Amino acid sequence: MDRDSLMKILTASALITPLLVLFTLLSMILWDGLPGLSLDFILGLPSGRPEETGILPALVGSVYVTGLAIIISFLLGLGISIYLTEFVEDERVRSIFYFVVDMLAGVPSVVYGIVGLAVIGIGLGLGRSVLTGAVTLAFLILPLVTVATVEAIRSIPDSLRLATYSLGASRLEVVTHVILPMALPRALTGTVLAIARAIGEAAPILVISGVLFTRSIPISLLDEFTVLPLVIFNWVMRPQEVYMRLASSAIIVLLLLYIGISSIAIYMRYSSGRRIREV
Amino acid sequence: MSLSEEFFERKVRRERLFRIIPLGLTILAGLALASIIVVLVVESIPFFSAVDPIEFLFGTRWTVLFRDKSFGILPLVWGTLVTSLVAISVAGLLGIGSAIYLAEYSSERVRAVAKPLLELLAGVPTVVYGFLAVNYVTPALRLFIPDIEVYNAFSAGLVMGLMITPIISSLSEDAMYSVPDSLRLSAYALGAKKHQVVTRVVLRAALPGIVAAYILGLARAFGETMIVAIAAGSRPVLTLNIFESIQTLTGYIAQVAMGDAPYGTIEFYSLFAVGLYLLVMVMLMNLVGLYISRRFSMRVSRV
Repeated sequence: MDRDSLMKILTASALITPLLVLFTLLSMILWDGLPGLSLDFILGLPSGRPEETGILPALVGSVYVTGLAIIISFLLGLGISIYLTEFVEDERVRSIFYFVVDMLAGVPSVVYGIVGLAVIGIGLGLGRSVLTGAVTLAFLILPLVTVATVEAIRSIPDSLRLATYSLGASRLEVVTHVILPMALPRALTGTVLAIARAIGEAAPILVISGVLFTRSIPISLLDEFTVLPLVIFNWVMRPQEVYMRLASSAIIVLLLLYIGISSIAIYMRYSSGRRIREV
Repeated sequence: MSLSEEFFERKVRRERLFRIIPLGLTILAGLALASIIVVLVVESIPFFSAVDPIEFLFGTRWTVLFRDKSFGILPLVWGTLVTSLVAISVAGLLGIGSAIYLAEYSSERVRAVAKPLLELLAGVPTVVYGFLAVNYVTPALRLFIPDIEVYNAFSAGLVMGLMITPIISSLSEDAMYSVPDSLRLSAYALGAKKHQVVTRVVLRAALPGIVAAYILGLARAFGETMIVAIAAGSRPVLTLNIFESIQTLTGYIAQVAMGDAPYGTIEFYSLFAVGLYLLVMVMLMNLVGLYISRRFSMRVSRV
């Protein structure tokens, strides 16, 4: 065989191997977890007896914390990216801010958890609550959201901006009438991807909430809570076979959420990409 | 004041107000970064007033959660290094291979399918990866390595490698993609074959970008928590045997978080000391990685 085909085969297998291994392992999870998956499991309360246990409080906790985090993060990210793209004129100042965003993106998620607990939980006295978790998660995904929003705004041609200014529009009007409507679809795509990332985060929530098992469903912002990845963590750490099966079932639910949200983002990227080209 | 002047006044006032909000939010983000560092430093002061920093940095026993306490962080650092190096070996090989395939060989159709799939792989919740390591990878490895422990550095590292592969792949692909076509074409014009163009021209020109990808991937492995907390064990030891259980910096943080260390104890403050150590290492790696990739992108634009 000549070297060219060898190279092609080697590199192709480097692409296929990780995908294949992961899909094999994931289908083993399906095999182990599907039999235990039922409506009682998803909508049931946790119980000391593994046969009767459910994941509802964790599911509610996940949706609650992630939903709140994404709203906070999106508003913050939108404000920051409007400032960076529309107000900052000095290229050096802008690159400093991009550097800060890059650095924030590199901070390990567990460190966010430690700082969130110290500043918001203990410092501001909000405790190990839903609100503490949500604000911490919001800062954790802020770089993702900001980068997506900045790129969305930057992809808007300058000619549109200039045309609007030349009609006598103020900066506020340019932003609200041109920039936001055009950038929103792509910015939202990045935000949806950030939701997918946030729903699976376990490390910072482990530090902040520390609750692996609870029967109470969080309602108030100051309630204690747990999330689905933590319940899975709790079950994975137990050696008995029955908890391995429970963990598999809960993982299927988590993966369905993750893949569902990600597919929405991929679909949105596809359709919003088309719209911008049509303009 | 005439009506038009009043209208104008109001518009200017609104503009001024509008300027303040985004500025405030941006300052908030900057403060967030600063506060991460400041908080970790300030909160580890109680720890370092009880523990000699020299012992912390160079000691070889870490027994903070026992009655007879030693505070040498090296075993945790060692655990982090071992799992991360296993991960980066796997991800380096698979990531660079798949990047070459995607950038130089694959058809548009394959790319359109493979890239979102890789992206999906990178975002799978890490507790799931940890579960895979403990429940499937370790038992499978036991067929070949009978002595392997239930919790061990190798399985955790392998699975972490799978997780980082997409990151390395996409960053290296970007680097190869930004190699100007003129270089490829010149090499072809000199009679080079495709594999020669790839290995001697594209890879070489993209090398700084690839190195940056490896460093950023390694930084990711350093900070990964759930996989090692689940699969690598909780025994901080300096061992050369990668099939034994160890403990990483992040694994220790997770263990303390699970144990619910009361506020004010040395166990609680050790969270911040270990977190600070981790943050400094990861940030240094990210700085180097970003520096290399930024210099590299400048060079390409000059070609």
